[in-house]
Amino acid sequence: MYLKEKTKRQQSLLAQFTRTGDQTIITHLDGIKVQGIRYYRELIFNIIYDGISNAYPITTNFLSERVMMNLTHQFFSHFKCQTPQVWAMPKEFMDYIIQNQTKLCLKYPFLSDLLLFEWAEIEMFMMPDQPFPNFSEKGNIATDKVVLNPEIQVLYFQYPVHILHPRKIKKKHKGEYFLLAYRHPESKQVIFTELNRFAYLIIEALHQRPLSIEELLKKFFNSYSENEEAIVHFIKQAYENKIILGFAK
Amino acid sequence: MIGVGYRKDFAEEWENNPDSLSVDFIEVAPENWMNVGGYWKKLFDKKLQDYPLFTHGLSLSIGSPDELDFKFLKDLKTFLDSNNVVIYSEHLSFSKCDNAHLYDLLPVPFTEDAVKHVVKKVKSVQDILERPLVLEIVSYYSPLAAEMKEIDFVNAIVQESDCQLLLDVNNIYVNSFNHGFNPVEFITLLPRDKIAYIHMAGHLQVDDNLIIDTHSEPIINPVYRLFEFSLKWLQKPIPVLLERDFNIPDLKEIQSEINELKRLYNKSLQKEKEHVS
Ligand SMILES: [Fe+2]
Repeated sequence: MYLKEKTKRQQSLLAQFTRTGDQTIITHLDGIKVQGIRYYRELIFNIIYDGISNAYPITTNFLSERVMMNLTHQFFSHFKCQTPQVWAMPKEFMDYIIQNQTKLCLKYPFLSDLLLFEWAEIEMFMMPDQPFPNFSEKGNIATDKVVLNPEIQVLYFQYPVHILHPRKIKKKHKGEYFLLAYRHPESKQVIFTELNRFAYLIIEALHQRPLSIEELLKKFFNSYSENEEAIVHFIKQAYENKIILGFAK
Repeated sequence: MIGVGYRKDFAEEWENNPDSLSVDFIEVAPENWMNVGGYWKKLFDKKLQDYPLFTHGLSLSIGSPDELDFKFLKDLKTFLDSNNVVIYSEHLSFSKCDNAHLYDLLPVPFTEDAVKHVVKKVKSVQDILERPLVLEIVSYYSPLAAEMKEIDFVNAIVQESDCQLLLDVNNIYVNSFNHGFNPVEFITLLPRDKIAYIHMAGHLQVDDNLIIDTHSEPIINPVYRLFEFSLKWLQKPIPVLLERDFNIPDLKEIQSEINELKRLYNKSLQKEKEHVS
């Protein structure tokens, strides 16, 4: 180690000041211009707050800017941000809130769902391109194995954060909600679509490997009363919407 | 060669109207595009077919007391290699400390021990990435525990590590204003042969004695003059980048700044040629 303890400590104190805004730290910094040092705190806090409030606009609007700034302050002073990619930092904020803001999450039981929903859009836009399996666009939907779009994510919520404004969500809405987020294979736009439990299970099964309608029926016929018609209908729609890419070769 | 910082803000406009911006290369922060796919990456990849890519990193934190992040460096190398990146530049500052990223550039103490520490890290980075590191002299709003002059600090690092320099002309202007020195004198004390890249940008004066390097405004005249001086002093062609990160105007306005940079660039180099002949 070439770095002297003193140098290291000065850097650490400056970093602490920018993370916490604790004014008492300033007196321990050597040879500084106080006004300039204060700007660092302001600039960095703004970067963090802008990143978070832009990632979670619905949450920010619901909780208010004041509350969100306070949460940002809690997060940034207590949590050590790990990602070198600033666009991914709001994910660490979400994890921090869900793990540490127990009171707030009890007050608003849908908050974790809401954060997850808002983050999913960014994640789906940004995630690395997934390798596309071999498939052919033409086939027989009634008999051929169908191939799922690999750029999907299924979200499970207890509250309908994807349908209702948070102010309108009540205890009575608690239930089971499945939301599919996927990238359109050509436009690369992110699309959300709600699934029922049955559709969710089909997607999960197709996520493992391509299956035909017959195989899907066999898999689910015993546990569900859904008929062949419902499966065919769902698969057809999924194919039109590019949730299903085509048919196994 | 004049380039522009590629931004999502104008990516669609530029894609739909390729003639709306005429540059020689584009620059991005690798952190914004590493391990990224989807819509924006598709647009970006299209541009990469037509333009060489320069990079300007944010999270290396070469001046940090912390150890280098080797996982990050591995991903970074993949990104640089797979996109045939011409230059990988970073900042002579720290943006991570005590294992926490800060996402902004803090001033490293100008001390002998920090020189040694940074030099060791620069050498590791250059070994891992198998390419020279081009370090930018950053703008700063306060020194921290300095024991030597900034110019001596910078020069010692360059000399001992054999890295290259990014001369951000606006940063030198901002620092000379904030800390009261002569920017021309500062530039002439730098190792001319190590300067590999130039940045130009605008800033915001927040009060009588403080400028913040916001990259949110047009370039001001004194910075253009310092740019002309730097080119004449350098006596060599060099890539020049226009940085605009906030308050981004339409492409017409960006192009007019690019044009002004081109004009001054050609004028300065032309004069140099005449001078030589
Ligand atoms: Fe710069």
